[in-house]
Amino acid sequence: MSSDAMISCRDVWKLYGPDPLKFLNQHNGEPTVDAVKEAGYIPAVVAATLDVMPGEILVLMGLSGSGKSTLVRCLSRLVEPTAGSVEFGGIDLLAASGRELIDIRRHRMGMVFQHFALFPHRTVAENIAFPLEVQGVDGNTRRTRAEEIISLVGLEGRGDYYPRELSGGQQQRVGIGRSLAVEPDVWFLDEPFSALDPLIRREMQDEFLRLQSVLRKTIVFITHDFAEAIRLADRIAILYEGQIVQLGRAEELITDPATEYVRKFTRDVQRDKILTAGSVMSEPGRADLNGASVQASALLSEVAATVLSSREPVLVQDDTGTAVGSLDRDTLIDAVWGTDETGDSGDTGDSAVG
Amino acid sequence: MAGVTETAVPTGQQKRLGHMTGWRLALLLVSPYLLIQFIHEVAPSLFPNFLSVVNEDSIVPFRDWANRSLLHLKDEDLLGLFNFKDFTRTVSGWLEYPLDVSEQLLIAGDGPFGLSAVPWVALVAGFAVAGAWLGGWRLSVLVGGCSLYLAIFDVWEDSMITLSIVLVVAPLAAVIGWALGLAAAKSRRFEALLIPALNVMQSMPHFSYLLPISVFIGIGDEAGAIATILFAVPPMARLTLLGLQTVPAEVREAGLMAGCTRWQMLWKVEMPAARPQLMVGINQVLMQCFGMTVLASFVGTRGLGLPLLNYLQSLRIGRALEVGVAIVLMAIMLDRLSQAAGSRKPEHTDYTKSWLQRHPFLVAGTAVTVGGVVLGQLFDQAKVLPEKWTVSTAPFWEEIVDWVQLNLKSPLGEFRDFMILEILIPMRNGFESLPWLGLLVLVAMLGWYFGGLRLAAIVSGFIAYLAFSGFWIESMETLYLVVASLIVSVVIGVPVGVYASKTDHRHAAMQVVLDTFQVLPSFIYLIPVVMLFRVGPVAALVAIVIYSTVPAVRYTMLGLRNVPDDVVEAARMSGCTEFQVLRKVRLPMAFPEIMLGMNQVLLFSLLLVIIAAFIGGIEGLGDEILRSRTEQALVGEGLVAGFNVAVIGLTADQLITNYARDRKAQLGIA
Repeated sequence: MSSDAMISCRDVWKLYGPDPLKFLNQHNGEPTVDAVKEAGYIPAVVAATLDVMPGEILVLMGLSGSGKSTLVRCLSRLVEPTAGSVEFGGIDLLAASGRELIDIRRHRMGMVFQHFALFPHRTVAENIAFPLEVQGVDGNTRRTRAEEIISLVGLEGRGDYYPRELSGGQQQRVGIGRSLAVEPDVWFLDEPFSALDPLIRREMQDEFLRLQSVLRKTIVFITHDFAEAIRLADRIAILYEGQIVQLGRAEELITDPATEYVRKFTRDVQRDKILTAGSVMSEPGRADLNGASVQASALLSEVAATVLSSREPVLVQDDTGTAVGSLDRDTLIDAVWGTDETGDSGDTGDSAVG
Repeated sequence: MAGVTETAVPTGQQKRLGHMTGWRLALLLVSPYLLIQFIHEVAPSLFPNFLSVVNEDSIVPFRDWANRSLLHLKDEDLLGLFNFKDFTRTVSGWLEYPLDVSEQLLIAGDGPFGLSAVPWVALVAGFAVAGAWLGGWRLSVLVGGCSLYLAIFDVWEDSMITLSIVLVVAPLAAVIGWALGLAAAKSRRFEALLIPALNVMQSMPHFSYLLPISVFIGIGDEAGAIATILFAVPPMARLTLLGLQTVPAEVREAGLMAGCTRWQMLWKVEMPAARPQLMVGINQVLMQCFGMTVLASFVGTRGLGLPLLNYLQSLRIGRALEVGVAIVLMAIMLDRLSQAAGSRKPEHTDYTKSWLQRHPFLVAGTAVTVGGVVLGQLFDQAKVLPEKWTVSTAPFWEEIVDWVQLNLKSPLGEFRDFMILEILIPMRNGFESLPWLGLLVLVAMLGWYFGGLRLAAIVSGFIAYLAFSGFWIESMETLYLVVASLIVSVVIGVPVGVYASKTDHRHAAMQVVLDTFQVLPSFIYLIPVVMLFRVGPVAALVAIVIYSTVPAVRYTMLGLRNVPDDVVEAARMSGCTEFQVLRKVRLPMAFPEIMLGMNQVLLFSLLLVIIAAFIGGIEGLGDEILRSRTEQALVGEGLVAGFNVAVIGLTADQLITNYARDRKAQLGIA
């Protein structure tokens, strides 16, 4: 797997404290979180292992202080991990020299920041062209490229504005533009829409998806908003106290939460818009073969009318038309509105949710 | 910060004494002191004398050490390599040249390259153009008008000499301070060294810079210039450091992610982002340099200070006032110009216009300079303003002085005598009889409460130093005047601050008043009060109060206005009257800030007490420093006395800033 991955991080640790490396070594590199805290260290990232596949949107999701920002900074080496390895496009990022790192950042990485991090003394165009400027690209190329980006992010006519003259949403468009100026392979977005109003946030999410449908970047996106994660993510990693507690598709997190913590996050989501028929179906045997059928990949909200209006369980087919399961009313109702069970996930053990 | 779990951390005070508050706490902290004072007063026979005042034999001979090391530096080779005096003389030699050039450009004419002075008409017009460029027509009128005043009212030459020195020393001080601040921002270890050094430097009175310099360099413009540079470096270093430290982490990261090299980070990201603080720093450097250059007349530096000093000491108040007005106007000019430069925001460039249209002020500036020079060639009057065109305002001021003498002499005299006999002398006697052990215990208790054992050890060390320095009585004589002015300043300043914080309109108006007052060099306040009260402690007190009420008002306003609106609204909705809102919510929330204001008041007072002593009639540390100026053998004394001033300031500073930090953390305000 990891050989195809754009970013591959293995057992990455970041502890804050007097001598974190020595502490880790004393515990053979795998202390418990409690041991870390007891020794007075702050566990920002704990044994993080994940792969970011080319072209996917991986969302790191967690509350403030869960270590998601630190983890993304370990992936870009803005923060030096205490231990572990990070491979970036086949290069050992942690072994890269200062010069190499600068080179990688100049050509292969882009980053968007929560509070925009625009340079107040530069115009929109100058902000966007900044990464090109530090590479030594000549002025004319820079201006042309800035114009392209400005129209890409929808800021036509505002190239000569200063950041202070723009609204929050517009400022973040500049931030996005700047991070795309060098056509990076990997795009890091650190809570890019958290500082914006809800309506603007929604608009910017749409904008982001539109851009991604054109650009097809490899993306690591941070958010503390589960709804945002679901809207944007191919896969979601949930972090808690520096640990990745679960990594998977939104559906998997909902139907099969690894811990109570994950379950709490997923409790309030609109399940019918996320779960597919395939994820909640039972064995095919019970289905009425002559009745209606639905696609396994269809969302529950799309199949609800069919299933609910049928007395018998309906047949669930895969893309090729093969019967793969059945779905009855009760299962569907339970999956969407049920409180104690989230589907046939099998883990009946932890059904009590406050 | 990512990865940090938020927990309520008890602040220092809570840890030490639980939640004890109010009178009981105060009593607990003060009781050891009261006990000592009680024994000292009631049963003096039980109280060992050496705990009251350190006797002559036990005094640590700091002054001899200071004297000897100065002499050593002066006469012997340092580490056998070079002579320190030669070194300082060399530095002063380097300065001599730019000082000459600058002066000759502004006033004297016929410089080393055959440069002749810029005609005064060109300078006045140049100021006006600079004002228009940096701040619009209002500033242009202000600056142009001020410089015209300087020309017409017969203070042109002295003003231009002062300006010529400032123009040389301010850039040097700014660059040195900037470099130090940069180094501190890049190296934690250097920062740890620099900050305490800056603290000490900034609480040393001006004369502590002038004295040793005059030993090595002698008297003159260069000595003043070097002392001025040393004096003006700390604020610039501090503000550079602050500016670089407050660059948002994200902006820095944005720079890194763009692939900046270290050099690019510094020049393309960090310096531009720190620009606001750097510009404040440059403004401060300019104002400090100006004030210090004038004050440097005490070591014979020419300019506006020299005549002022002479007039004040010979009590020619009218003349002194005339020079004082010139100093005020120049201070305002320099301040407003540099502030306007600092608050300029980048503007859009309209490339459809021609080059000339895009740079109107550059064009205008060149035009007036060339025009002025041409005029100067044609008419001598344009080159140097003829004597007969100038007007002296001294007679006008003399009349005012005479009128005051005639009409207000007896009420003012009565007031002065009453203050001295009934308030100041008893107060001074009280301070002089304070046993040093008592003060040490009191300060140690406060230090322990505000900052733990470490702080207690530091501040009691300070008091012990004062006790054994041999200037205990002098220190107390200085302290009493500082405390007296502190009380008056707070009594006046806090209510004024409360009043001014009430509406935006008042706040803005008060801000202008405060900014203007703050810009003026401290000793300016001495001129009118000397006219009213003659020299002596009452004059000093009034001058100090005028000067140091400014921070009292400013910090009160700041503290009150920083109280969050929703907290005030919550109080109103709970049914508080306006007075209750003030007393129960706004003042307690603003209290730490007000305390920081008092800290400033105290430092301001301390420095001005020393300056006031130079006019005469005030005992204490200032007097010691003054005497050491006239006799080189006493320079050690002067230095130790100056250091005592710094130690008094540092003690208060340590206690108050620790308190305010803790208290702000408790209140959850940044």
